[in-house]
Amino acid sequence: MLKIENLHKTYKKSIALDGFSCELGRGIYGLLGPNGSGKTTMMRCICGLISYNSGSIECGGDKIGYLPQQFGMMKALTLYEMMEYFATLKRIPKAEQDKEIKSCLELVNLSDKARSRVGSLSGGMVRRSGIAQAILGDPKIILFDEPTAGLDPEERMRFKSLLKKIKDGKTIIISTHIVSDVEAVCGSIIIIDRGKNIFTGSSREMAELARGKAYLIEEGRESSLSGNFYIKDRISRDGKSYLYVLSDSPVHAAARAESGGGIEDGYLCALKNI
Amino acid sequence: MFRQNFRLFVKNKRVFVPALLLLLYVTGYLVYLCVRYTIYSIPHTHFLQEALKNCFPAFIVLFYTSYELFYLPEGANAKEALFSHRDARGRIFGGMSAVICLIPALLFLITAALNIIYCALAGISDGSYYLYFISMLFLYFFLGGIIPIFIGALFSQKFKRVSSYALAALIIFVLSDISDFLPGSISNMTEINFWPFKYIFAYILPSDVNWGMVSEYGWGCEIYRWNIVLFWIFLLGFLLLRLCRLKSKGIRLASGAIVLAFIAASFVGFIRGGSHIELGNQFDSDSMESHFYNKHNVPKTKTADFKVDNYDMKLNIWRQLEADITMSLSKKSLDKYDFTLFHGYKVNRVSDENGNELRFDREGDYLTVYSSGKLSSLNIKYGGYSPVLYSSSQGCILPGCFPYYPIPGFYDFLLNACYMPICDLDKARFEIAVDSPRRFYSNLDEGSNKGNSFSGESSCPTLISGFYKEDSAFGHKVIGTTAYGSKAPAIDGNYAAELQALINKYSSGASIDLSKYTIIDSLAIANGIYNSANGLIYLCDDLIIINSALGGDARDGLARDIIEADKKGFKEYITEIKRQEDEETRRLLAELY
Repeated sequence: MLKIENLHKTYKKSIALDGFSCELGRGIYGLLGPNGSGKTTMMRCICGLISYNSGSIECGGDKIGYLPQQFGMMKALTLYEMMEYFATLKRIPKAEQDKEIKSCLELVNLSDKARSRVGSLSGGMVRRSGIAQAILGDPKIILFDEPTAGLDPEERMRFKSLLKKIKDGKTIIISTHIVSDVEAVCGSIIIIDRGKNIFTGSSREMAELARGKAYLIEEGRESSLSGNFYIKDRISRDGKSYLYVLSDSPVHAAARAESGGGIEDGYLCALKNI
Repeated sequence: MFRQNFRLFVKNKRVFVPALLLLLYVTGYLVYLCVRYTIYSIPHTHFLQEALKNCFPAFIVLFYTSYELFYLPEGANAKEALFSHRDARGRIFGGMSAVICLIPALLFLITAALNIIYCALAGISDGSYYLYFISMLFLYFFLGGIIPIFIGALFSQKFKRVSSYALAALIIFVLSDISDFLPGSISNMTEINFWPFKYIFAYILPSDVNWGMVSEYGWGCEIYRWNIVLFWIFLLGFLLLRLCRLKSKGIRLASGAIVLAFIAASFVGFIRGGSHIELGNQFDSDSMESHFYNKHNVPKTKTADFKVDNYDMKLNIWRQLEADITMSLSKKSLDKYDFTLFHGYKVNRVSDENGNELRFDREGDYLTVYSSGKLSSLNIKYGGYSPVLYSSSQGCILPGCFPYYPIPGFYDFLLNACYMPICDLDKARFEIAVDSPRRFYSNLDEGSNKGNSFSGESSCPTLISGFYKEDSAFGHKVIGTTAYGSKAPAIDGNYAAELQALINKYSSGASIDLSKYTIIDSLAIANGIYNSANGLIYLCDDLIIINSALGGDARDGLARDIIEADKKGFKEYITEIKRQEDEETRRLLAELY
């Protein structure tokens, strides 16, 4: 259980978190938000990397595992030695370290690389080893900050299946701006914008936000748009050029209404207050 | 965490190799010197000097090693993953610090072991000398070595590489002798002593290791040096502690408060200062003493209207001389009492036998106490030191011919960079109690209380401590230095007997019985008090102070000088020597121009 209440964090000139609150039970949560919305700041606050100005974070004494956005390891050590370093930091008893390390490396499919120097591992392997260190010691709360960044499609698939393997009894937060990643694995989604929680719900509930708000209008007829709207895309159809628009007001009859987009449209509606 | 960090350290060649090379270099160089100096019978002080010179390169390597090791998590992008665990910063910094502190610990152990071996081979048996150099090596190699480690750790968390190394270069510049011109020039221009600002940094490393050492004193390892090294360790430790971001507020506040208290205590200790030797043009050095005399002192001469029958002296010699002296006066009804007391001692209080404070004037080396009526005894409290005739817990040379105690009358004892001995002083009875961690030696008899208390009648109550020993073979009381060990001829009863034989050989008629005298052999006093070319520094009824370091034919000359001084009186003898020397100087100058 993770409870965040009214979290405020300001840097010198900017507000990173502006009264962020949420209550998370067990399960996988997708933390969505544009760049600079406060996702990483919030994760850093949760795991104690940075202090916050006010508010509270309660994790009920659960251990926290964290994969930062930029993850690297000491190149001179072997993967096993590096994991040992993390295991000691996590205060895993010495007698259990070997077993724990081996099982984590197996989960991320890096058992055969245990004796390889970290410097010789590929970018994807380093990322996977980052995941391994995050899940080491069986933490009940796991924070993944942009876990799939830099991974090839195969690695992404592997990551998703890994999440399914470890999710039981855990609170897992995946911070990302790739909406499709969230859709596939996350039971719940939190949208953060300018340091505020603007949406919490399931992926279906998020998709619902866009229901009846998506339109295709011919290019050049933008003047018919009113209220809050957002031009998401340009589409060519039947030799004509159309704009894919999300709008909270009914669009002129000349436009063709779409039945409503998926989770991505819902995300945009939440962000643009449509 | 130690094991993991040690592995990390050893596996990072860029960090490990320089540290290993430093250890190998220091060990190899000292082993080579140990063999070479033993073959050539070079005194241990020279070996110690060479060992101390390694502190400077060690400082640089330790900074580099520390910076690079602490920078590893940052450089490898592993900082966030590592520091996200509870109290991880503290544990990682602690582990890494412990690993790097192995280097100064090893440097200290290697250097101390080789110095002990060298001393043992040289036949030095003075335990206090061993204790001195081991504690000094601990101060400069181990404690001093922690400072660059902490600086490196701090810089690694605060600055990028270029800025860090630029700042480190600046620090090294400030620490080293190269920057001496800055406080030197500013002090000379403004007459304000800027050296203490330099010392705040410079005393992290041993001072003056490029100069010749005074063997009875050794290289500076005074209390205030410990204070400043500890001050830096605590200050940097405090900043590191803040970086550790301990989760528990209670521990954070408590540890912060304790460390702050240590910082304040260490700095106050440093500010309190104390007696030390500074070679060169520093404000406290002997050359600055001559500067003082040339600029500020107006020499006076006056025969006293009174005598002091009895001196009861309570001396505290830790950081510097702190004296509480009660004098019984021969004349009770004078309006004023004139004394000569070295200007380095600040008079704090003068009072009569009832404890009533008395008015006094202090002008350079002179003290005048005003009395309004009958005065049978006088109490004077003062403290300070001379940069030449030092007095600290490390060592002390206070010859009775130097006004470290109030001498009745005004005497002009100034001379460039050293002092003329004050001669023909009246005998008085002395009761002296010295509070100091070191053993003291004197021409006076040891008191019944033992433990640095002396009593007796003398015109030259001399106190010395440092690396000395006393020998009483053949009925002579001889006090000589121990720092040379068996490498130099022993200054003991045998030496006195040989000197006696020479005196007997050269004296015609009246013979001098050396067993009536205490013989003190001191190069340090020779450096501070004007003396003859053959090493006779002072001679009075019960004391002969000599400098045996001249060696060679000087012993014959010394025997002749003792005979001459005894015949003429020492004042006449030394005045004549000075007159001849001045004439010679004038002649040489005339030849030149």
